[in-house]
Amino acid sequence: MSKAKFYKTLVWVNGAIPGLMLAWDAYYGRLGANAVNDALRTTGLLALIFFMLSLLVTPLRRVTKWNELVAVRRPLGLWGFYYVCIHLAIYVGLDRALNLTSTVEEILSRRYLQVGFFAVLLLTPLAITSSDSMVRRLGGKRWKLLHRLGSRRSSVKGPDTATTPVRRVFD
Amino acid sequence: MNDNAKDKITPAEVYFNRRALIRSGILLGTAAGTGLLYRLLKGVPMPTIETRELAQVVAAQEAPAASGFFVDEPKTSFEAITNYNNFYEFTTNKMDVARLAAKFKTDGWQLAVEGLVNKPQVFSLDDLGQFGPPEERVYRMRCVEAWSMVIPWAGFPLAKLLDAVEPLPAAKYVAFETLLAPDRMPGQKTDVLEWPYIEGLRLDEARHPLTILATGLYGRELPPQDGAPIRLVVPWKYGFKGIKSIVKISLVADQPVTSWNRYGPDEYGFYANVNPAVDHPRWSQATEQRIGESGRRDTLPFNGYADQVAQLYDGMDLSTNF
Repeated sequence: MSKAKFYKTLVWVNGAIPGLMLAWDAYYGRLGANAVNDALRTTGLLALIFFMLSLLVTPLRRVTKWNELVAVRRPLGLWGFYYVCIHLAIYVGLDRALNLTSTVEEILSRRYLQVGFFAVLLLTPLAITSSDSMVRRLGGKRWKLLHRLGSRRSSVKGPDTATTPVRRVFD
Repeated sequence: MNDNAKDKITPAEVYFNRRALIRSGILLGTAAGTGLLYRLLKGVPMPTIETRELAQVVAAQEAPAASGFFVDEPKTSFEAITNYNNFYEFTTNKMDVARLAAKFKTDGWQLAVEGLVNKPQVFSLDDLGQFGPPEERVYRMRCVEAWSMVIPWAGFPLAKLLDAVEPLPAAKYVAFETLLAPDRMPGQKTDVLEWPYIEGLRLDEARHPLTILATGLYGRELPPQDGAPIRLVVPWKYGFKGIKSIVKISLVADQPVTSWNRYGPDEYGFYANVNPAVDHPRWSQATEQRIGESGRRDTLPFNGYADQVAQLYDGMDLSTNF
């Protein structure tokens, strides 16, 4: 296994750990009185953390000249995306109890949900085009443009927590 | 290369095995580290300390069904009721109130009842015993944040206290005030709200048979995080109307200022009746998360107490008087 592959494996395994622990706690009823709310907050935070980490890779690599580091950018970004998907699934499946009408209504009327949903829409093409074959298909220039645009606009996702008033987030 | 140097080269299998070993070590080490970090940042809730049992609690089931004193839905666990609290006097973190309030003492508590009354008095907790043995009331509690519980309170009707002080004809509202003690309630050192917490009811709401002053929960004294030693419970209104750790009750002529209404007048009203048809500006009030259940429930008008209280609001526009 090359160094890059090993680093990737490290990220894949470590990225799964928080999710597994959350599921474990949920199964044993250790998420507190409002488990759904707790799971929503945790997956949201985890998504943010992994996105931040993936964005840190490029400047870190430039500073440390540790070139193999670039290999972890994709798995970090993908873990962020996966946590976003879990977050959305919990929202629709549990908070909205699979009521799609209610979900749409809520997203249409609440600013903080619109921001979050917009971020998901932006991130999906990034996740889809993250593989090597996709990089080849798009060509380096176009791929770079897409992902740079995506990373700028999705830093807007942070505000999913910022536009939500304190009480709702820290509940 | 001469033979000597060749002998010193580590055989390929050994080298790769060693690397595999080191790498497995790193993998396991980081995994353990991540797990530890996660656990450190996201702790597990503590079990609750039990308070003293209350003598002679009159069971709620004995009351007639139409009274609304007993709701036939699964009670929320004591664990949840005592570890999920909005009590900003301690902290805004619902799961941390229990820990921060654990040492809150209520010895020598005094409840002053004054204002437009014939017989203003100061009651000690023992004095409140004159209003009878604690009655159990199993009520729904609906937080404005769209979660709810079913809580077996123990207390007595506020009406009995009001009768004892004899409100004057000029008294139209009842105002309530919480203890102000930043050294005992650390959240009061922050400015998340103005302190002390204040609330109010219209006199007819205060006199309603459903309105109680609660001193207990599950047959035991109120734990500090739930508003010890005495708190208001008005089950058809959002939970923030249930002012906790009360030190003063005043009978007044004008509608009193209330803490959340003062903080956000377009979000929190004076009446705060549970109403699925009137959304909070930032979220829907049509459904609620019943703590302990995984699905979502439809929110009921007046939190399911319409039969008992709707007549108090005849002719009122409940979307403007929210």
